[in-house]
Amino acid sequence: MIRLANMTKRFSGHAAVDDVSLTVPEGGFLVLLGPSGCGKSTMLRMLAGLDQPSSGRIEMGGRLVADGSALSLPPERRNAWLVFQSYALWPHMTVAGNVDWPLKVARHPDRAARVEEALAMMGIADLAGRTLSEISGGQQQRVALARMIAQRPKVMLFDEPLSNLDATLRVEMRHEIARLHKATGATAVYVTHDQIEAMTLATHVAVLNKGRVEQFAPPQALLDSPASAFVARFVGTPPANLIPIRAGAWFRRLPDPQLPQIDGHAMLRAEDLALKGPGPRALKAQLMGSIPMMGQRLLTLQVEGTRVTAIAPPAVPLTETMLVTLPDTASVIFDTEGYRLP
Amino acid sequence: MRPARPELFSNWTLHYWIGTADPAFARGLPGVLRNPQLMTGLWTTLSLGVGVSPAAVAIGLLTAVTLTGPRIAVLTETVNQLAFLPMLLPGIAFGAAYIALYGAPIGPLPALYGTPWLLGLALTASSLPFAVQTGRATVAQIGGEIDEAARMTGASLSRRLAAITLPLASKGVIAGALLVFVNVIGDLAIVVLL
Repeated sequence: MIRLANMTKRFSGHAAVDDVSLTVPEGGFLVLLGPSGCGKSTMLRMLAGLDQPSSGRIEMGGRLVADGSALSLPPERRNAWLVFQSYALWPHMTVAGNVDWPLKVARHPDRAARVEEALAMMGIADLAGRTLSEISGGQQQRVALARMIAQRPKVMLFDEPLSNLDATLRVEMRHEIARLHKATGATAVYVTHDQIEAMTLATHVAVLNKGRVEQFAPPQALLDSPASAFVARFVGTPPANLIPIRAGAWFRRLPDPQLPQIDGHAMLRAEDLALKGPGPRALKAQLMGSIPMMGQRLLTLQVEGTRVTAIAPPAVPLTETMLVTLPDTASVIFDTEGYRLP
Repeated sequence: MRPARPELFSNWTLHYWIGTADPAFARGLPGVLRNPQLMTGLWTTLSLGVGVSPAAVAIGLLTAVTLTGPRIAVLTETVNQLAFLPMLLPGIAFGAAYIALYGAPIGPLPALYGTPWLLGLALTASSLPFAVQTGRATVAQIGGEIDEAARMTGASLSRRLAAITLPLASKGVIAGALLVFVNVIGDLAIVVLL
């Protein structure tokens, strides 16, 4: 279990992590999701014990490991390990040497067996004697994971571990990490800006923006009821359309009694927009591009100066200008500040 | 081209290097490598170089590790700039300062003037700019995450230096040591004073 209470990190007055409180149950998989500079890596470093919070508490497995400036247990006493973005393997050691060294420092009694088991679990037992320059990037990632599981940490921390891999390997390693998490039963905290990784791995997602938690929820809840316009723009494949409304009028010029009489944005998923018309709710759209996806096409359209995405079934012909029909209602509305209307 | 005639090289000699004293030759002076004064000087110079370079490099590397660690902006920048200070001082002034500092006994320490120890101390200090800067380049190359991964294991600073930083830094360390070595054996101003 991991519990954060009012965790804050200030760098010369500026709060990189601002009053974050959340709880992840034992064996959970927390993804910290957000754009670069949102404070997610700083949070992870504080969990690892490499940085100390300016204020607030961190509990791991029921034990207080950091409390403002009063207490910060060193990394080796937290029963946690961090997989770095660059893997941070030690290039002058062999594959087995890299997995072995942390155990050696910890004076583990049965190192050889642990190393062998970890390498076998990652499917790289045959690479044990190789040096790092002799193995590929994907294999190095496996070494980094083996180095972690050999120590059997109760908390596994990942700092954008897949960002240096190509698309195919990324999918493969994502499954490997999911498998490791299931097999070890450890609690995982995973930092990424890739919402697909977040949606596939997480039991809990914390969407971060400027050091604050925008929303803390299971992945499906982020899609179904985003707490803010920021979350709605960030998650989903493709991300939701945020249609500007002014005084209850779509795109500022198509009044609709169904909409609240305010300024803001209405959230529409790509599948909510129908490519048909004409009709009272149809609007002209310019076709900007299309991507084939799952037997259909994902269209990027320009409507009244706003870019929207819509889905075109195979039967619909693509033309330079198309008609888009708005749905009868929009269930999710955000005000001008980006907060969701109740 | 004319074929080389053997007599062209017939008067070449190594006598001025290794010859024994011969009254018939060079007014009885032996070769330079047989001159005891010169040989002592040569050995002193070389052993100073060999002794000073590891010491300077060790201090430089430690400074570099400290400088690249968690930064306390004002302090790290000050240390970084201070490391250039020996370059700013003329060698003569540097030597004079060391005579003033260690010429008389300090507490239990004897006066160091006239001993190779004073030379070693002064030369180490004067080589620090080279050592610190090459050390910084080396440590920067190794990168923060590699050392942080080692920190995660709970290994102490000295253990991390011995097992991770130094093996990775060996090339840079050798380059730094050579730079200091050349600087030390070529130095005149400090040595001539002390």
